[in-house]
Amino acid sequence: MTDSAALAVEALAVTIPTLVLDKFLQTLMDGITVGSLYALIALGYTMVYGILKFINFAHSDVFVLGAWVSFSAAAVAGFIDQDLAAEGVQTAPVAGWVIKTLLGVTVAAGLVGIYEHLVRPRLPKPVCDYCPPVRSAPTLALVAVWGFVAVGLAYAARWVLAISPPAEPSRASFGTLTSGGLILLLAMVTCGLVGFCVERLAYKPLRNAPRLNVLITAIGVSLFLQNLGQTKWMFGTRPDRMATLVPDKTLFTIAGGEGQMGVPIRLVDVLVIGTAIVLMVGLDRLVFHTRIGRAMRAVSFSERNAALMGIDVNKVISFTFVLGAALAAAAGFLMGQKYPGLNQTAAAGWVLLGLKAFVAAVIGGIGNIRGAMLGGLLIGLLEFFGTAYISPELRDVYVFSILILVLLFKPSGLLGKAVTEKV
Amino acid sequence: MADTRHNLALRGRELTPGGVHGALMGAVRALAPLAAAIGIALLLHFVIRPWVSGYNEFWGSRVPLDVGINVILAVSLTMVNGFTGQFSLGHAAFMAVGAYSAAGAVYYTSYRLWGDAAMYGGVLSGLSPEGGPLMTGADLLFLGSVLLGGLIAAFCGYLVGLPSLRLRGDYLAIVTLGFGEIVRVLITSQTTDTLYDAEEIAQTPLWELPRYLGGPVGFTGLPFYTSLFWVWLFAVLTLVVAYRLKESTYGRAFLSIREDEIAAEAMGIKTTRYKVRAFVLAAFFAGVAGALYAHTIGVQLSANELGFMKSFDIIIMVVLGGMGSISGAAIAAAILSVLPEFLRSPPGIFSPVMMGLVIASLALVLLFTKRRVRSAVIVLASAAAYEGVRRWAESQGINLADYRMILYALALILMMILRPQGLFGVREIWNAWHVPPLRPRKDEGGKSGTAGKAPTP
Amino acid sequence: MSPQNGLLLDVESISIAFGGLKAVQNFSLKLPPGRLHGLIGPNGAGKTTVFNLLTGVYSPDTGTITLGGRRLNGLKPNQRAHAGMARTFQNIRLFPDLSVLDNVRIACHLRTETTMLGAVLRTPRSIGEERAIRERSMELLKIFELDGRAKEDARSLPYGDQRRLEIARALATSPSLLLLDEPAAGMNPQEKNELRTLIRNVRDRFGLTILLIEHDMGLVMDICERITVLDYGQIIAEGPPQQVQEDPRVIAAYLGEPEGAGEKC
Repeated sequence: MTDSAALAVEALAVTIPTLVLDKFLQTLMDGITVGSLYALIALGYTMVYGILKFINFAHSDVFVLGAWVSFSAAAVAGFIDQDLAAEGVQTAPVAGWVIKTLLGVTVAAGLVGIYEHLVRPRLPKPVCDYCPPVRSAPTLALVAVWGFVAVGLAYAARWVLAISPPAEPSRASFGTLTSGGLILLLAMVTCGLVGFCVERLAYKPLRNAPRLNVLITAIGVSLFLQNLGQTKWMFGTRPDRMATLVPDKTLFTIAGGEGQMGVPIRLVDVLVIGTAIVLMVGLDRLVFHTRIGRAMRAVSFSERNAALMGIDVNKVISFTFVLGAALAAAAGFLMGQKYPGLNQTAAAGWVLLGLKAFVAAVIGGIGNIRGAMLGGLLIGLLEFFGTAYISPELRDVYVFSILILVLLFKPSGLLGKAVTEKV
Repeated sequence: MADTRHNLALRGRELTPGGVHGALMGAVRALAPLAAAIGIALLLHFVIRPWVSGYNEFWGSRVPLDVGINVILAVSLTMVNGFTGQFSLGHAAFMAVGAYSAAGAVYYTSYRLWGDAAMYGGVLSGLSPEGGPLMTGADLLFLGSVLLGGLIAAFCGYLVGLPSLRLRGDYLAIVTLGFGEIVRVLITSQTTDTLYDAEEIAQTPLWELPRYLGGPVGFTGLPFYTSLFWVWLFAVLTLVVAYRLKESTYGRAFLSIREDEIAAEAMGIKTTRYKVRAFVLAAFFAGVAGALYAHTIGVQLSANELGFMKSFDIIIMVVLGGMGSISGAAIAAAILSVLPEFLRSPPGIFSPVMMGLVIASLALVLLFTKRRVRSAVIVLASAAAYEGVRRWAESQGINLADYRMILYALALILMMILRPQGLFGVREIWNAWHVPPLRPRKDEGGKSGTAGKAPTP
Repeated sequence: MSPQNGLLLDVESISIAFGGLKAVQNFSLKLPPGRLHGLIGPNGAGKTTVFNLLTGVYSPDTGTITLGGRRLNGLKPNQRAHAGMARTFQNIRLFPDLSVLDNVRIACHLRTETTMLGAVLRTPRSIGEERAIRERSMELLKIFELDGRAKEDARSLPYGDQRRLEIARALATSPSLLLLDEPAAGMNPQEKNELRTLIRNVRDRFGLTILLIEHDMGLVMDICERITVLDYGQIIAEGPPQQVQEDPRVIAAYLGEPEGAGEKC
């Protein structure tokens, strides 16, 4: 090395530590963690936009639902928040109305099936004209089974935790980790079901309607989910605190310069980022290396041609919604782990979060899956660095400013391609 | 008819009503809206309000005021969503901008001029007793501030609309939603409170004052200049402007953008420019509504009240009335203004109000629908369902008003699936519904009997 | 806006590629005023793409388009309409919820001078222009025999009437060049006959230049003065109908027999 180069390196080695390195690293960690959550949510937006060409405003509410469902599931499983344990709160069963509704759906499925396959074919001709065919039996049965699986997962989580409890309340054990995993799975399954139902009930009838109508419906669904979550049968209007499934352990610390604290790399962050990465990699493989993924991409290019090629478009669309919802639910669960305080479902904070995730999808290029991942990461980093280094009060403004800039200069997003409409 | 070189503008000039008579009529037409607005506003303020207040203060003073403000909001949003078919989700943000601009202007100017922000209004503002001055200087300040609020909101509309309206429809929705949140955040993140001391205010330089708008607590201490007169003055003006715009060549151009933007552009319509114009105009009226809202008695101006929920309230009014229908938006605004009160204590099905409603619905349905028996059955079934739900809610101790948002959301979803055109579609109340023949004519199938008529519900 | 070198429309070597697909290559066209010119070719040859390039929906990668001496490159579709270019669409694009009369009146808008403020205030000038618009629109509807249905929704018209309405609407923009995209599609033989006469009359009466995309060979050979044949985005023949009909390359491309082949299904 030449003398000047050596001098430069030595200068850098001295200055870097004195640039508040731990603040930088901490911000980086937080930014990546929250960014990966944004990415998970953004994927749902982008996938739905890719195949149906509309913005599913209700998507962020699925994310919120995921967080709250995890909370309830954790309570059912037996995870007790330290503060609540002092009050002697017992584990809760799955809410009675959930089971009743599922039974009701099962009965309905049975009745419809009987009507369609046993009663209707045997009706005399004039009566038959007034009795329309009702083909919902298989779907209803699917919904019922799906719901029961979710309920079963809750009880499985409880069983696993019971047979392998942690040695001390804030330590991990095989039981807590497996149970936690089951709860994550439960959240994904439940929200997948919600996504499926929403698509079937609210969006499918409007498949051929003008875009404006579908957007309005999406707004309606979003508000419905938000306010439903607030009712007393669901989660109520009180903010709550998510039970910590992951002990608050610091894995290691990156030391800073003299007189500085160093940056703790916490287990929570690692798990969140790890899970998010696993999910994203899984999705990427699904979309680009499997048959169903190919079908999804085909439908996103041209619904009609995909149908002509023998792809069941309805199934693909439903699958996409379910997938997006599941990812959002996972993000909700993970968010609950990192920031355990949960606001009520209609709080402005959630709306803002969902909006930022949508901005992430737009910035990455709406309709582009890898773009959504990239966009999420960028938004997370931008938000945290802006808050840390410019002004904490304007944290929401940074994200929207970037949105305006992107829309002004590259509306198709970073990885998106401008689509020309065929006249 | 040699058409080779038809010059429309020239022909227009030829057909212009000329001379003194033409000019006179022109002046009359230009001033008529203002005259009508003043007349109707005076009627409401001096005649209707005292008369109805004699029976019920709430329905005499409060309701017409709320309805008036909501009418302005709904009709202005119709200009964007209905006329040009763009989807704006942040209309309440422009209301907030107008509200805060006007409030700041009134409050601080009042302090500078008179040393405090007491209510110096005249009779028209309901602040002076009978026999007092009709309008005082303070009223003029108020009027000016309302217009200022509208202008600032319009300017924001331009800043927001210009970049986003060049893009696909969905993007405007997101940008307006984001803008709404930004406005809310910018206002609530203020750490400084409103100033109360006259000395302090006199010494603060003008450009510093916008920092003192109350922050998260809200802007307190505003004088209540808003009265039925002012609200309905602007409401009638909004209605007239919207109507005249719609029934002009510009209105048709707007509608063509909504119908088919590509075809409209091919026919020479400057689509982006017109979309921005509609957006800016709508923002102006929303700002005016906000300014009026801010100075309403009993209102605590707070940015949290004017967020997405309020935008959604306005959207549902427009959608219910029929996107593009001015009368529809106005009627829906009226209905939805009283709905919360209605939900709080719903009258029984056999009460005079509800019976009247059921009979009126039956009459409308029997007259205007094609499948009369089916529609009548639907009305009666809905009445029964209503009564059932009402009784169940009463027995459970549930206050339906709490579930207002869920009911709205469900209503919106159902409406989009079953009747997306709302009440009147893109038409107005006087040409939306036609009486179909009692017995369908045996024409060629499909379009029998409707060839010459507007679509029947 | 006087035509230079006698040409109304001067298209010089335009091309466009979508990704790897070269949709149109090296397309040129010279139309003197009053010409009735046909553009034919097998499905997917790029005819509508040429229209879209001319009207400004797409921007060509190379080449220039000049109308009446004025360069159109870079202008948006509405600016080209101002310049005098009007079109109809392959899949009819009327304004479905609006009345027949309104569809035509909207197309008159670009030639008005009233401002928005004037419209709201109902100035005498705006009233005059409104009358002129109505007069002009009813005139056009009368020519197309749609005046009886002026108040009906455009969507409730029978198919053939919708196509005619589209042409009437395009004419309301007072164009000098009219682009018709498959005006006879879906019409029965009688309607096609009427269309033939209509197109010729319209050309003479309004002093138009017309460029026509069509699949019905009978109609094209009958009314067009010259024809350009497109295949895979390139011109394979150009000339009077007789010459084109007998050109072996054209026949090879898609005419099964020398005489006009079957109509579009």
